[in-house]
Amino acid sequence: MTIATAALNTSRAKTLSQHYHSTMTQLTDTNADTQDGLQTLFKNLPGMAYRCLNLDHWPMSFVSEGCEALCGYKSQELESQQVLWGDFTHRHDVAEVDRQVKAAASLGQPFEVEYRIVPRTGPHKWVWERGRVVDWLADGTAVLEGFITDITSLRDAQRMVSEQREQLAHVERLNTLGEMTAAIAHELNQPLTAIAMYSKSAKLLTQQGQQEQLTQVLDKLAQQSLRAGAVIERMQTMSYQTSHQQDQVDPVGLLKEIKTLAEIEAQVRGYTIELQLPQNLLAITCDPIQIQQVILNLLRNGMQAMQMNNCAPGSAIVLAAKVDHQQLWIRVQDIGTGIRANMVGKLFEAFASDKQNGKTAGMGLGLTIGKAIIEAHGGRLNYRNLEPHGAEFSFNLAFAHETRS
Amino acid sequence: MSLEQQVLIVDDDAAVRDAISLWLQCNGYSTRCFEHAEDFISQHHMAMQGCIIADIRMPGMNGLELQSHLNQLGSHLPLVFITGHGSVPMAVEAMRFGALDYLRKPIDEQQLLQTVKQAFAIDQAHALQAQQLASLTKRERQVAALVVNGLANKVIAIDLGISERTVEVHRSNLMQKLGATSLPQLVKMYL
Repeated sequence: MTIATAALNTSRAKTLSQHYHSTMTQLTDTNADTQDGLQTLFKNLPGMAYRCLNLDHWPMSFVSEGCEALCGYKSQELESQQVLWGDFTHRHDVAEVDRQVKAAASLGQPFEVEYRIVPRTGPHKWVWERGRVVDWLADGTAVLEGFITDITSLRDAQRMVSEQREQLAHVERLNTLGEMTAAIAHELNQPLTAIAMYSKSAKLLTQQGQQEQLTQVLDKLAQQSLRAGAVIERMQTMSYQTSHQQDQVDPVGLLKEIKTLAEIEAQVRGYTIELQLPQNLLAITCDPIQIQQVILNLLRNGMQAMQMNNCAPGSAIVLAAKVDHQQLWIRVQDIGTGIRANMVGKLFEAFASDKQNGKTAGMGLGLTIGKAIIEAHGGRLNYRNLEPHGAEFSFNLAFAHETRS
Repeated sequence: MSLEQQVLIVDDDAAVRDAISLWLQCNGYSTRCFEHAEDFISQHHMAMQGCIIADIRMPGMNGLELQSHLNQLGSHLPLVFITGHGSVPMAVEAMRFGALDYLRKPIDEQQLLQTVKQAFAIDQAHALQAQQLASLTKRERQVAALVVNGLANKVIAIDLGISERTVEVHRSNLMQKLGATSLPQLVKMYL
């Protein structure tokens, strides 16, 4: 007797035998030729075909041979329910898989899920599963049939793509920074040249005892240091004020647009963006491009923190708006690693970054620029850690017209 | 020497101009400042001595254009450029067209002194040579021109319609006046 038929016979003896006649059963019940053909088919499948009950941990009644390559257990071990599929489904993913399968089952639709499993040995694997309800037991339990395959290498490739894109973004930031540096260097070199010459001259004048001229030179020195300071100040404001254009903007449209933009990145990371909007929001006054830049940056930071915290795929980062004290408050809330104690207080300092992975290390400019933009809008950028984990960033913007409640 | 050697500073930045000038004055140099290249050109005359220190990047006529203009005028004033961030390629170009050196901002004050010292020495040597050349008689100048063209005394004598002996005397005199001890030295002076 072949393994598959043995497995099917065992399964028949168990709970579900009289209750369904799936195509698979029918096929295996027919002649030997078909059975052999089916065997070969199962053997060569790049993954595992299964039949199970949609109960806790998914007890399997039939599992094709591919399961050993996938999870390290033999099909008999699963079919005899010595081990259950749910036992090695990643603990972070199990709830989400369950939710999606149940949702599809209740609608009578096929489901498709991606999640992690922890095989008998080795690191966790990413799997793709597609299945559907083939029958219902008398007690209302769904019988599922489907196929599971290893997509770890695909996931790795996707991750590589997203990492490379981040690197590219990093290079772009460096380029912008390079240009900025060139401009600053040029502007600063003038007063610095003068300062160097004046101070050396001052030394000589002191030695020569030319008191009167010395006083003048010292004044000039002070002037040049002020000039250098002004250059730096101008550079700081230049980065966000050159295109400072205040418009009346519909916050709902703005936030929806941002959500669409950020969803591209969210999809790559496997997360979702949950937009929470109150009813009837009035127009706000802001530079939409800059506010977009700030929110996108906050969302991106949040998703990176969630990835660092190994949040399950499908986890949501919240983008919400609410009205408080006649101001619009926009909030980005993640369930990531939170703000580390050593970063609190210097979060808005330029070049301070907590993203330490060499490839994705941040410039540490995002929040600094973000804070500057919000302050230029007359608002404040706040942050706090959430329990049990995660961080929340929020800022306020003024409505276009005074609201009186 | 008829005129005093001066450091001629051309820079559109008032503070830089003033500071360089002060530093050089403190070190015993005479200086004169110009706000831009056009300003310098309008006051330039061939009797100017010393050297020019000019910013390579200036609004209006830039350093390179100033250089090309001076080259056309036949100015021999050594030219030192001040370069800022990103103008090094321009400085290299300037060196190709005979600039003495370039100084990067912020300028090292000792390097500035050294460069000015070197420029003054070159200028002085050039002025001396010009003086020597000016001291030659018309005939001596004619002989010198033919000598550096590689003609033998005999040929020069025929060319000028004088005796070979006279050519030898002129040649010896002009060599002495120019302080040249060999034909290659003479040729170098004429180049």
